[in-house]
Amino acid sequence: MPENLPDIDVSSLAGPAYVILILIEIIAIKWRGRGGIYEAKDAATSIFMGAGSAVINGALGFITLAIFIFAYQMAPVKIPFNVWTFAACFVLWDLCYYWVHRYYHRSRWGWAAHVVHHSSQHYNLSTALRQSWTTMWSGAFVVYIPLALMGFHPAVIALCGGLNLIYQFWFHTEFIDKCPKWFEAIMNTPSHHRVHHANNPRYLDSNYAGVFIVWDKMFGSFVPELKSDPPRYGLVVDLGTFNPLRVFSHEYVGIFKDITKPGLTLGQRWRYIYKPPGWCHDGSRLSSSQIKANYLDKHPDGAGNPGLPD
Amino acid sequence: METLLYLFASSVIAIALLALLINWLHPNTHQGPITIETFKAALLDHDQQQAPGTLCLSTDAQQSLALLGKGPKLAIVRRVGDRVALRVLSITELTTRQAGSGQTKVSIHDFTWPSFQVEGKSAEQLAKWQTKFKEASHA
Repeated sequence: MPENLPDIDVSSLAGPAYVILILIEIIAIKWRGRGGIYEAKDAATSIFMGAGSAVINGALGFITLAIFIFAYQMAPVKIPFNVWTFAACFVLWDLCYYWVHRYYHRSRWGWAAHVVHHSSQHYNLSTALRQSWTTMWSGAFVVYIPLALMGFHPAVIALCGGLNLIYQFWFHTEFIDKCPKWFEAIMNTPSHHRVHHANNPRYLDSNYAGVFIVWDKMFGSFVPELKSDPPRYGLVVDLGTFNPLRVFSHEYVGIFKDITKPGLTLGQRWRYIYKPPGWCHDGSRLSSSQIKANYLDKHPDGAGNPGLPD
Repeated sequence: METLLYLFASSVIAIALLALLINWLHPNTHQGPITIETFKAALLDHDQQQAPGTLCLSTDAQQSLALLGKGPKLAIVRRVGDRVALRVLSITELTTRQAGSGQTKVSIHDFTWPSFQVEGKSAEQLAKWQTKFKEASHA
């Protein structure tokens, strides 16, 4: 543990703050009569998923930590902890997060874990807590191992990860419309993330950023929120239940059903696991890119507009 | 582990209190039967252009089925909280079985879609559709 690393357990501080902020949002929406909608069962499911995620991922966290410590011991250089190296680690974590998040959306195995977060048809602070119970199982932590190999201490990496997750809480809201222009240009904001949670064809597979929206602009996945196309939240195929066990496991069940279908080749079964969500061997379902193409067939004037292909 | 269990227990209490508060400040006003307007809006939201035919309402009135155009495609709209969810499938993908006098239990191959019951005219209508399209698929 670096000597000058502040001894702060960010996750234990965040829990009560989340509840207080949700309370404030519930009351503020009622008071102002705008800025989002709450529904009791939906919010309860979201918060329950969050509590389950904290317990399960917290209990399994030692596995990831052990891997990071092993990688750190192999690092040829150990980076000392100070404000600059912390800032560098925070930015690099966020870059890794961008690619992890992209993987979550573009490979069905990642999506099976992450779909939980997108399964609400509402968008409010409680939605931020609707987190996966199978983060570890998704294998995404592998992307962060290079940080330890570069010589960042695992405790610093964990702190950056915790702060990154905490930053992502506040922008799950419709209560804030737009932030100042300079902020919208650099940082992830409610407007950018509303786009990410929308199932309108133009908004699918966009705005993967955690903290800095610049990654989306650099890697070509940025789509601005358009007043002419207000976001509709939820999945392309919405769930018919609030049952948390079904919410957490439904995509894994879907994968299992697909790979055990009779008459498929080994390659087809494998593709049901790693190809983008919606891929299927017989064309009976649609991936995001096919949904966008179908949308353009019906609305050809939209070609080349934000979020739609040329 | 003790901390994690404490976190989980306190979360459950927080969830219950928040749910009560939400119910009080933001009561769900969308609890009536699925109407044709709701059904059409759900189809439109999902870019389904075909017009629905006669609605078959479930016994609890929380979901409706209708043929799209002349069939055999069928849409089911289900109330989920204050929102709805939609499935479009072939009528041959429905599994039905008798569940008491005049009642039919309907289920689809979808892990997140609870089975439901139809009765009376709705059950008769559904049986007619199934017979018609089963014969058509055998023809």
